[in-house]
Amino acid sequence: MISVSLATPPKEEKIKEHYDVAIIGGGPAGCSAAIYARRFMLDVVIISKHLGGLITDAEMVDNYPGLPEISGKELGERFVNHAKKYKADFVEKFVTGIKKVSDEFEIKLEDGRTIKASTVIFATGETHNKLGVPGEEELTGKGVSYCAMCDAPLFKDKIVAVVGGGNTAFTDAQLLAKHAKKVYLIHRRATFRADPIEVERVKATENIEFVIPYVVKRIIGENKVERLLLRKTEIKDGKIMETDETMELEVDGVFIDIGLRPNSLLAQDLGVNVNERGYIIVDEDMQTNIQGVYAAGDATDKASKFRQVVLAAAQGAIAAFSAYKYLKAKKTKK
Amino acid sequence: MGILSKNDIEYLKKEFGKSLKNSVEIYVVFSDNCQYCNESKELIQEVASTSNKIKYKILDMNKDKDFLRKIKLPEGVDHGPLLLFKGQHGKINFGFIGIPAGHEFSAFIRDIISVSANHLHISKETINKLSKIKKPVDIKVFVTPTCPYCPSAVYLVHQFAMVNENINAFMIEALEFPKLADKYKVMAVPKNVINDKVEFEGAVPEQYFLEQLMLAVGL
Ligand SMILES: Cc1cc2nc3c(=O)[nH]c(=O)nc-3n(C[C@H](O)[C@H](O)[C@H](O)COP(=O)(O)OP(=O)(O)OC[C@H]3O[C@@H](n4cnc5c(N)ncnc54)[C@H](O)[C@@H]3O)c2cc1C
Repeated sequence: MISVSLATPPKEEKIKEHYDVAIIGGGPAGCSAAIYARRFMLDVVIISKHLGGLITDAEMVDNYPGLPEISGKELGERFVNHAKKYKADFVEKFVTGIKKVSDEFEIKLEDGRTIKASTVIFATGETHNKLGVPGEEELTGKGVSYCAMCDAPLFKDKIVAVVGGGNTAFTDAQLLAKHAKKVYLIHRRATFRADPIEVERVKATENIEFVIPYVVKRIIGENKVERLLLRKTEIKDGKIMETDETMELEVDGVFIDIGLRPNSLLAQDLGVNVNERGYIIVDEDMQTNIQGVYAAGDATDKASKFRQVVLAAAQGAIAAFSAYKYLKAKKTKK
Repeated sequence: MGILSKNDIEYLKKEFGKSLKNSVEIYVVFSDNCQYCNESKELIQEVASTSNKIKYKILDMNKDKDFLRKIKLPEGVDHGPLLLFKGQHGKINFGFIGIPAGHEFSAFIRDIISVSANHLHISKETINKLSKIKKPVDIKVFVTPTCPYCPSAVYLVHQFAMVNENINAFMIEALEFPKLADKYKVMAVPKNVINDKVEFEGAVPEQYFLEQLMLAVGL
């Protein structure tokens, strides 16, 4: 059966020159911030690549209260359409730069345009971590993949590996097992972060084989992935140490699910403080160290331990409220 | 039971009512050995039922060979469904090879709006540069229906094709066209191929795509 998806952004990008609030990122945090900011009657623009955000990568979401068993694709669309209903402007472009000019912010888009705003909310989420091993860059798209949802069907009857020990690795392995002949699940420990229910499901899947505890040292192949070089690990004094034992695994593809890192370089360029792992530091009002600059969702240090749509949405609402209070106070001062 | 839900249809009626201006012509090509021709027929019928500005013609790959020869389809497209658009310039030069279902449906809807409202979503500089291209350009974007990042890649190259009739830009659904996917070694989507010369994966920024295109045509 085929299904369709309807995340159409508004037809025309009638961008104003200046906004009260510019939200960078159109995932759950950004859309929620836009809905609330519009309810406070502020002029709002969401600037984002890939509207709906990371949740559209989830096959099924079953923990957003009130909307049980919704596909990630649909949940993302609902967030976007809700913000559209409140007439937030949308610009579907990458933001390439941002700077402060007197008490305003100038946001530079990939196509060279700039948008000015009195306040900025960073709702930029996260991107996939790389393994950082030889062969990974060169063979990305040639067997190295970071999106099982997108690419799994292209590996029909092939042999693939999934690297990682969290929920994403385990759900990806199950998805891949439906298409591929054989799936190896490689993890550097013999224990997993993934929920026990996912571990059980993987164990019950015939064509998934655990390769543990191993780390990937190199991805090998001429024009496509052919083999992985692995090295066995052991735990010494609570630390993972590599042993001398290596092995090669023949695969056609390798899916890398070793966590995410925050998209915070833009914020850092502006002088926003981040923690040691790069997450944007915010207080309970979602305020950063710079006046008029807020952050919400997975990119913040407040979410970095529990990254969920429900939290991102809540933080977006708080950020919008804080921006509103700030703008109101500024106005009365004038 | 249709493919679109009641909500989808209501949404489209409202959206199209607001944003469609001129009529849009879509050519829907069917053939033998076609996995999703029936579904594509249903889909186009349902979409067209939401606005009288959407006109479509059904063609047969075999019977309408002569007509189709004028369109610069990628080599090796031997079955349907194809959903092809006539651009604002009056030439049929972009569209979907394989059903625009799943995430791709949003690119299909956005194409309709863009052509009808004669409104482009790319920058003036990009339009300027693209307008100057005199040589034929052939862009293929391979996708899967479950790829959330693909529609923006498809929409971008369709925008390019709307600017200049020398630019032919087609989405190819990799699972329906495995021979083509194999030929172009598609192992990740979206995969972009320009003039069979330059290729890269990903839904890349407009600027980057433009640079690659210029490289491929030697400008
Ligand atoms: C496979 C998977 C399954 C998941 N399942 C669940 C689940 O079941 N339940 C749950 O609650 N959560 C789930 N999550 C987590 C959830 O997706 C995130 O917590 C949520 O999306 C965070 O929202 P956000 O708005 O903070 O960031 P994101 O959703 O990541 O949105 C950030 C947006 O900002 C854009 N952006 C970033 N930088 C720029 C820039 N420079 N210019 C323009 N745009 C930019 C990005 O393109 C993106 O659209 C899952 C995640 C994954 C990967």
